[in-house]
Amino acid sequence: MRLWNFGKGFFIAEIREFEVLFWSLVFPLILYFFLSAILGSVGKGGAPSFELGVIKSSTNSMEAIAIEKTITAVSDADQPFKATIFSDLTSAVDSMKRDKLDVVVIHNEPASEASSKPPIEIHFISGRESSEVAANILEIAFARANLEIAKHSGQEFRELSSEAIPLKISAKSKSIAYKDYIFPSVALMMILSVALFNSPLSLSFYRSSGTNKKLFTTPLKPMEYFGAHLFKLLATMLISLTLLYAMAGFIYRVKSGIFSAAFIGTLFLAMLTLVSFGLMIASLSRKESTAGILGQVCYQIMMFMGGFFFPVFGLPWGIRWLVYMLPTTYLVELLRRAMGVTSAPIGIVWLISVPMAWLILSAVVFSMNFRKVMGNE
Amino acid sequence: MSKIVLKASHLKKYYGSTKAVDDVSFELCEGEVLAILGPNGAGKTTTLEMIEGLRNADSGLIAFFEEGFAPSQVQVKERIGVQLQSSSFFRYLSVRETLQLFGGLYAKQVPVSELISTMSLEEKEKTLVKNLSGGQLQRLALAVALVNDPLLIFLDEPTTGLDPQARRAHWDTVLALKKQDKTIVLTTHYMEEAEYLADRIIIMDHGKIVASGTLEELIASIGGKDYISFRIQGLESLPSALGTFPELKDTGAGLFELSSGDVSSDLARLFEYAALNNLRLDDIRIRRPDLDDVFLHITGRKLRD
Repeated sequence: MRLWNFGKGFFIAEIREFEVLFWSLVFPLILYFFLSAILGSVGKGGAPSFELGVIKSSTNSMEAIAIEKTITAVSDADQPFKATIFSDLTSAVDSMKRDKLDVVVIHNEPASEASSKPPIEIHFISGRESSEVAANILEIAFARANLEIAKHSGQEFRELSSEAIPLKISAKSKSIAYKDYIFPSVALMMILSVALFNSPLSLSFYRSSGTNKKLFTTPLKPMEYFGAHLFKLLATMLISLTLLYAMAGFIYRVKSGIFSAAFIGTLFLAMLTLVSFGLMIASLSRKESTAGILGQVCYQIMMFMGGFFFPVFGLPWGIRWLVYMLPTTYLVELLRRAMGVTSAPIGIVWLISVPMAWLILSAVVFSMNFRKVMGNE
Repeated sequence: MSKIVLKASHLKKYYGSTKAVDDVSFELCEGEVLAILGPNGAGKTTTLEMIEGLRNADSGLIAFFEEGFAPSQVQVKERIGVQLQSSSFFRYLSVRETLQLFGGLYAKQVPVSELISTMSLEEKEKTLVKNLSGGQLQRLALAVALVNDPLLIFLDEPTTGLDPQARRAHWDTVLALKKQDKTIVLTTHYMEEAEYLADRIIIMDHGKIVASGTLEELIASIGGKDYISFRIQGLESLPSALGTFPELKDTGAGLFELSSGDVSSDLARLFEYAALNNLRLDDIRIRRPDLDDVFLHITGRKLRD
């Protein structure tokens, strides 16, 4: 009860501070809005572009020529498709799985063994927006081609019926919208802000201002104070995450697995790891100003070098080693994997074990300096 | 005989080679008001913080109440109230919320409204701590120290930085607590504060207790003589003829001071001498010796230096 009462008062005292309220709760929402609004439309200004794989028949029949013309019509300059010829379906589908192709078209000759098949097969990846749109456009294009052939040909002809064949693949290389892609970054930035700014600054401030000293003249124990501090941080992060989720769910309609257990579990791992890191900063800082500088430096490095907003694995080795050192590199990738996106060449074992190693190291350093951090001799 | 509520024996605290507290011992009886007086850096706050459990003594023993509890024990924390030298609370909590928060840390609590009323903070109860004046903050700090209805209250330089009116109001509150038989330890470097509030005074200098006792005992320890101070019109320094008064001192700026065991006889002697030598005495004052004189007598320095 004492811990609850104190934790509640402690939380209210902090959340009323403009800096805490703004940076922890308001800024992540503003950032999410601006990033989605500005960067979400990058590359969407012009006409859409799709990668088309074509597996032609070996004949020069009228049907083959009509199909050739249709494909040429949709893949000319200024047209939405860019066509690439493939010799077999396996290699084309493989390219589609690797996100190199959006859709594959196969022409089945009537005389061939596959004569029971429709003249055209359109293979696309179910659930991938670009693939589904490309398949729809191609179906419409072949329907138009049928009309043209019927108009110009007085003879019997085989209708170019197309069959769209959805392909279900593992979500390994799923491409997602920017508003989805950026969500883990914004969520992690908020956790970083609370863990690396609020936490060490709050501990240092109340220690140096003498508030802790006054509290330790009461029956409150240092462990209870620490528990209330953690409660306050957790409450701030959970409120902020709730607001972010509401924005992502209701406004941006983010669907890419942010409600999955893996994603939420990773967020909790991130909270633990980064709060622990912040406590290590507090234990290495004698003064509030030192905690502020250390927190700021670590925050900037973890955000920019952690791959939040741009790929970092192409950086020169002179700096790439830092990328591999940071817990955020692994945490943001882990969150994206939970959304079905792979953006970093790192094995799952490393994605979990590196943040865990930081968590343990930080917790040990903090424990060794616990009394000093609390300002209790 | 009153019960002993606090016993400090041979407390020592060193910071490197600096002896912040050097072999300090004293006892405190129930209902007593003890003032620890000394200049800045005398070791008053360090002594108090060791007793409050905020600092570890390098050596020595501190025992609370009949049971002999150590400072860190919850039985002590529940029964003491502490006003620190510089009070810092949560800036974004109101006066009422601050008292509720601190009250919630104790098993026994005084109703918040009662504390607010006692400390005359009614008009400020919804004001955030960051918006309080120095005097209001000190009143809040004292209210927080009383939130658990403590048996033993520690006040560390409670009136430093306050204006005379606020200081007087604070003294009245302490006197009211004294009437409720609260045991109080206060540190101060204002001798008037110690003289006005304390039953017993400990004087500290350079980490050591240099004198202790009641005000009367301390004054008696330096002879207990009164002081007659005066000026002589037209004279800035002591005329040699006044050498017949061996306890006369030139305190500078034309002011002379005579230490007197018998004021009426010495005054008569002084007027007679002035008349005989055509000297005109001016600005004549008689004062009782104070703690500053005690401190000066013991250390050779003035307390205010």
